[in-house]
Amino acid sequence: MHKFTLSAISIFSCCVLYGVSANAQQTDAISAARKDSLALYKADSTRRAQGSKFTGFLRDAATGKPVSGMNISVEAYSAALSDDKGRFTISVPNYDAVLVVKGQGYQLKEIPLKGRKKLPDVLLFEESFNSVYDEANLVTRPMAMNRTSNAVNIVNTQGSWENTSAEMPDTYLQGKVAGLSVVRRSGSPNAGANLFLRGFSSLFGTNAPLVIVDGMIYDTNQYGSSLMSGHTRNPFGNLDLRDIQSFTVLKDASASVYGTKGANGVILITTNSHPELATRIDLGIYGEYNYMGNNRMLPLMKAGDYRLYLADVLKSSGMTPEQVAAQPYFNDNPSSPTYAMYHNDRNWQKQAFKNGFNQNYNLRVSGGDNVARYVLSLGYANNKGITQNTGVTKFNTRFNADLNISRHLTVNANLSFNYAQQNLFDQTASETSPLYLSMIKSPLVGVNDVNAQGVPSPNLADVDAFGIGNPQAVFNKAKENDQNYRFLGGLNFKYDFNKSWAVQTLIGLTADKVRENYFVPRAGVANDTTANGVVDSRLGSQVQRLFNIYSDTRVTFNHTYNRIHYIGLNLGVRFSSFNTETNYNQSYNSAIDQLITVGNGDPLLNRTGGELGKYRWLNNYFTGDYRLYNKYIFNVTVAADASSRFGDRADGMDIGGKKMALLPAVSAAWIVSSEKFLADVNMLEMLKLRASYGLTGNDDIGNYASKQYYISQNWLGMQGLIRGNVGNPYLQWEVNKKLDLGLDASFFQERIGLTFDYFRNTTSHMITRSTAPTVSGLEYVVSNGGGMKTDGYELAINGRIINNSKFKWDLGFNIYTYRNRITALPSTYLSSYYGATILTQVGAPAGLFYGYRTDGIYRSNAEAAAAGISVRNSQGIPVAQQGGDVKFVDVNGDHIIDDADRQAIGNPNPDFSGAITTGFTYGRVSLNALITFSKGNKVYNETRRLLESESGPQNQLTSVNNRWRVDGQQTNMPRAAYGDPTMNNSFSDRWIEDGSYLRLRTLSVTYDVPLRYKGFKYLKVYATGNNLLTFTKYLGYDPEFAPTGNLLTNGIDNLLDPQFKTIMLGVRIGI
Amino acid sequence: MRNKIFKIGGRVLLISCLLLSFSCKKLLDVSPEDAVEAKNNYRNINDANAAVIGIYGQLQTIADRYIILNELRGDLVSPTTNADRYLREISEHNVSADNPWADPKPFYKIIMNCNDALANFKIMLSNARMRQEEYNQRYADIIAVRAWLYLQVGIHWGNVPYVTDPLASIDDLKDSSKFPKLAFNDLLDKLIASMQGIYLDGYTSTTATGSNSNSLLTTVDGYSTGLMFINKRCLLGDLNLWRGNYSDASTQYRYVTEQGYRNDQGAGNISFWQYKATYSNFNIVYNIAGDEQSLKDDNTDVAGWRAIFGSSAQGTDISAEWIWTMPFDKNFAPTNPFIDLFSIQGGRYLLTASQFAMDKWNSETQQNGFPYDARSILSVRTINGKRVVMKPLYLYLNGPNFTALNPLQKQGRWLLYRTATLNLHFAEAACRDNYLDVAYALTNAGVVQVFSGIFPTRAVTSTGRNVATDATNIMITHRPAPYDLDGRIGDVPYFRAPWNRQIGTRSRANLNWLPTSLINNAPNAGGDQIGLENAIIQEDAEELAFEGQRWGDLLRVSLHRNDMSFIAEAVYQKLLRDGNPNASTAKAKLLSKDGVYLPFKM
Repeated sequence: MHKFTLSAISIFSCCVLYGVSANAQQTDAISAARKDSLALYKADSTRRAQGSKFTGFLRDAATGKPVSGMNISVEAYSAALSDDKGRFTISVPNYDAVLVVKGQGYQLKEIPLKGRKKLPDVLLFEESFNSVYDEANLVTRPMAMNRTSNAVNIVNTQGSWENTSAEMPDTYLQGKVAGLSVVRRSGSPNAGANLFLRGFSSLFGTNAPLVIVDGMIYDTNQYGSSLMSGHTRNPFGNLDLRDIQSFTVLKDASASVYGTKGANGVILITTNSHPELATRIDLGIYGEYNYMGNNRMLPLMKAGDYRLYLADVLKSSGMTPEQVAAQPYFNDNPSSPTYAMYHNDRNWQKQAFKNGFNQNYNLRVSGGDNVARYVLSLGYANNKGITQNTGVTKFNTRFNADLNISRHLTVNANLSFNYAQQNLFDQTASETSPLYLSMIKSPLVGVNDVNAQGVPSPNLADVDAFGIGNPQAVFNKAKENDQNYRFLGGLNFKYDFNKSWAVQTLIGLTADKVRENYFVPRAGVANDTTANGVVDSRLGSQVQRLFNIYSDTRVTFNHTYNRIHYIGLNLGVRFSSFNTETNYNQSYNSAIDQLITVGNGDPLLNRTGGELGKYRWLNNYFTGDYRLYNKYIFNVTVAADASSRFGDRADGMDIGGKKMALLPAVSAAWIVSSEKFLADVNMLEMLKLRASYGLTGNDDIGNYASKQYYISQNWLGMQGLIRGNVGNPYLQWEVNKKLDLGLDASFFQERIGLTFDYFRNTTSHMITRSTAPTVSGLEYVVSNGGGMKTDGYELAINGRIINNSKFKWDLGFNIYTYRNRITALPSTYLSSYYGATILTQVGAPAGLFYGYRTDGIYRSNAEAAAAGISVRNSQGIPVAQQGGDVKFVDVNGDHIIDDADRQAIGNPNPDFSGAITTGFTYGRVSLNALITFSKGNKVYNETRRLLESESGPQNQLTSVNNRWRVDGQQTNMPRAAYGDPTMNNSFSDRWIEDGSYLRLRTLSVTYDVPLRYKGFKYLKVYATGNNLLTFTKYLGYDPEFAPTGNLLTNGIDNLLDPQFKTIMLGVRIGI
Repeated sequence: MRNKIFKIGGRVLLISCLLLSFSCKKLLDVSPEDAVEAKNNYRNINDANAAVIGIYGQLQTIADRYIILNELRGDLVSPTTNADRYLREISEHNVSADNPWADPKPFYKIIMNCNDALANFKIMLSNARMRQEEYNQRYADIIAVRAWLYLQVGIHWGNVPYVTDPLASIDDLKDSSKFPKLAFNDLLDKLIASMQGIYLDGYTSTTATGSNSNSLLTTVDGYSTGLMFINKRCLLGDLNLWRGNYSDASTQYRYVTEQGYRNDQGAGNISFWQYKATYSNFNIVYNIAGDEQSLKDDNTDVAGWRAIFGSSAQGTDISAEWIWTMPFDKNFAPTNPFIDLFSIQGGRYLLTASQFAMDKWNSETQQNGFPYDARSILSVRTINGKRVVMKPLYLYLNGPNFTALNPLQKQGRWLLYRTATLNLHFAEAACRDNYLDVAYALTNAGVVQVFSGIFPTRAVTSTGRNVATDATNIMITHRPAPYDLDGRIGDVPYFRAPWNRQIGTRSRANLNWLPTSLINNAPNAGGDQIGLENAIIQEDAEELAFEGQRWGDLLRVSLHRNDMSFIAEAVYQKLLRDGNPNASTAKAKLLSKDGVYLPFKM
């Protein structure tokens, strides 16, 4: 608290100093400006009187009708209105001026005269049209897209009312921005997506873009892992998509303004801003239906096939046929007491999935007067998951207000509070994961206990004869939930000294808490053994907290000199203090399954733990924009960052004993189309060439890795201290150099727009773990020893194919491709995740799968004997292969298949990915569709590896029916072998599949109901289908998944809840 | 225009300065809260104690490595069919580059913590954060731990880097000139030198108790810490023994052996028992003479030999045998690694006794004529048809028929040094120093017997005395220090010298005497030095098997004899008798002097 007070005081005193110094300069600035404007005014009056005039016509692009009442202006010179014939006449200082057209219901448009004295009719599109003149809410101010020299994308949500309530800000961006990969994690509600902007930049640091909401950092990092296997808490779940007005994505070096947090690009989010004065109420009510298509179910064996398989696999364990036949489940005498117990044909998989209904309510009230305007929004959503008893309930509120305290002083307040409670179960292949249990559970057994006559009891069956738990017991009795909230509040004070000078300061805080409770019953779940106990029921609780304080203060200057030179300057400082805390408590074996809280566990088996994290970040930034004749655009950005994470001897600028990261960036653009030599090419609306280059940084290097510290080490019950690391005072931010060459073009009065970019991001000083010398006793040293390079292209094309008053058809297409290579690494590095081995090596892309290549199977014992190949088993001892074993490729020719025979077997990075968007409007009906695709990414199907393992009594896929059974059999499915003695299930290309897909992500129809009643502004009806159609060759549930945000786990399908389909019907009423 | 730009520039600069001065160092200095930053450590005596505790806590995590390297490489332990490739490689002396057991890093990890603690102790002393006597005890303890670790590293890797710098910064790691390699003998010289002049006794207790006590001598979780710290004199003796300074080694061994007498001057039994193999305790005894089944086979009865390994509590008697031992407790990490290595229940049963080890025991004859060494029965048992090494498992397989009562409570003990180790090392030093009679007495028959004046006739010292009643000049070695051992016993006047109950480990194990011809049938008559040394090493095997001494014993003797065939033959016999086809390859490798060392990966 003391430190907080201290920092608050320092922030405050800084502001005061600003005020004083800025005030001192104020007189100067005003007098200078006055002198300047007086002279200019005199000159302008003379010029206006002499009368260079310009006349043009405005027409509606769809109907061709004249547009009246539009405001046409030349900045700081003259203005005019269009008349009812769409005609306007305006004084112009010269024929190089730029006319700006603005007005209700239409897009904003700029018309550079380029020396022309006469123009073809100007066509205006509707307000929601994606135009090159759209305003981007850039870091320091809004700016029209055509005036930026950087690679920037904007996504206007238009309220995004047609989306289902399961859509969140992160998943919503899928397919919307070329260069932004959005990979949904799973079908679990609130699971969200991994975002990667233009590939990757870091191996151990974050690869997620920085998210800024209304000027404040929105922390999207994970702090600690969940108690629930496969679950990731998604901070985007605490941000309601319907509150978001626009996303602005900074893809290139312009992210440098966020210094050492900008390496992965920046997503700027603006929520409900600039409300109108009139009071408006919007109410949305939605109902949704979730379902899982039968065709997406995995083809698991039924009882008949399973019995044959079971007999086979038991025989391979060394049991004689007599012993196998003596097993109770093979006793086919109906009078046997266990006959009813083992003669079922249950479809466990189907039972696990449950279709569900979602509800969602949204209310938004906005209004105000000249002094205060506000938007208040409230929302409630109850979204079900696709497996039984899972789902999330969310409440959200947001209050945004704009206050005009005086002519000079304005205050913006943005406050939001979100609460969510999610019920879920363990995912991934664990004995407490009901979905996994449902897949491997023998179809022979039933859900409930039965007596000899086959009459079921109400009691759920316990663990079966195969040692596999009852998934229904988990679904019914386990209690696993995640309750979380986030408060995000910011106040932004802005003081305008005059037209040119202003100072503003933003102060905000984030308070976030996650509480998890975990209980898995003993009945119906297989026991587990820990180091010091056999555990039956499992209990746990966890709290994760995040408390961040943030401030951003800056001085801005904007001025245009002689209508030729525009100068915009910003100088500011951001400060943030991040505090995280996690505490968990796990226990086991409560007395009975009714005692579900962690305190009831056996105290001897208790495990507790936690972590505290703290760091501070200071970012000084300067941005300078210079525009010459509105044709030549230059931008300079410099950030100087300091952080408690950086080492004292980092390679940076030394200021007061602290090392600072100095990160400059420059960009330039040339609007070629504004040149006179292109004045007569009327098909060309705009052509802009852009280039940018600059440095950004990544500060995700560990809070304390640069310091030497001691950690505790017990000796029996005594606690001692040992060295935790070797301090690396040279530890510094990763540097990411971003180069971008781009082209923005627009043709036929904006009917067709095109953006093309080449990018190259080069990471140096990448955090790596280098092998430490033996004498140090350390496994590795964290240092800045790596490098990575990602380059690629992106292309986005938008066009209005049909444009008339009744029928409009928009078609958009974006595609992007990247190539990632590791350029420097202290040594090749292998990691593993869910049975996969991942290779990290110089010259290779990150995340490469590394395993054996296979070439079918040995069709006969003779063939295997002739090959003479052995496989090293888990003890490292070579075991000779036999007929029905997998033919692994023996790379080094030593006739032993072991680690030395592994090779790269698949790259999880796609060749290209992208989306197709299309929208039709016919009268009051509009239809929008989004199709996403990914091509050439390889996927490791761990689920199939488990279900084709043929090594135990677990149920298998029907493909196993085709297994090798007799000498000479022609098949590619290996033999059933209990315990897999010959390692047929090793990580190999058998489990690598093509993850390409093409998916109809959303299809929505909106009908704007004609209303005659007064008081109602509108009534709209929506019908939306989510995830309706997928074309893929992938054999798992769904080709899109992401177990973690770490790029080394990309493309690993570790059996999370699959994505499902949702149909939504909704109405929205405006009052 | 120019003016204006200058003005604007000036303002911008002014504001920048204001902003940058805001980035004060203090604001950005954040210390971790779940770790101790270096600058906040070593402030007072409690921090110094924490360093010692941390080092010993880490030491306990390498128990498995210590046993695997010292036993599996030797001739008494073999991998079972459950063992993986890496363990087999260790046994067959054919390690691959990625073999985790061949990595010296875990030793160096603790060495670096020792270096760090030593460097900081010095700073603490000079800054008066620790008193001189507190410093002396802690500094000496950590010096000894480090020397012990380096000895282990030297034994297994040969030429090794000797680093005494804490390598605290990343620059130190890049500077490979900081860690030059030393030959083994040079390393030993350095280690012996490092222990010169240090405080060689154990920690002393202070008068303050409870939270005021800064003493490391305490009781924690039911275990007295007294025996958990390294015995510096035993270590110094071992270092000198390895180096060939036999007299210096014997001086230290002798000092420790007479510790009990020095403490209470014959007032209690402990004077005569402590750190000597005596006839009173831990013997191979049969409750009914001549009845094989009546062997004392009991965890708690200290009369029997098994109690050395099975005793769960630390009492007076067991403290006379144990010298350095650390308990593994069910409630604390690390989990007892021996269960996993050796036990068929609760563990993976990766290692077992070699056939060669069994053959060694079976080549002996007991005094009652039984044609085997009964220590084999107590060291190795057949459970469910499997040969199980029992020494480390007695506290765990404590149920009927050697099952675990609580399979998940992995109680146990790491016994690093005990009286038999001390006596046999003393014997080896004496033998090398050409005091063969003393060596013979220590290993085999006892001072009283060998120097009774009627040797090789067995002396009777109680009723029916067959030695001179005037015991002034018998039962005493009459050799120069440190070999002047006094075992005199007389009743009129009543007199008991420190060595009067000492009988040698072989006699304690109820074995027949070694051939008296080894010392030419009389004390001070010369004898067969090599033959006696072979007998001592054989006794080492039978008494100390599976306790982590074996490889060192074999290697030390080979080095002293400058003949690698001694160690090569032992390993060859193990592999051969286990039916391992790689026996000859291993032998060929061990015959070269470099072949006995593991590859040291820098």
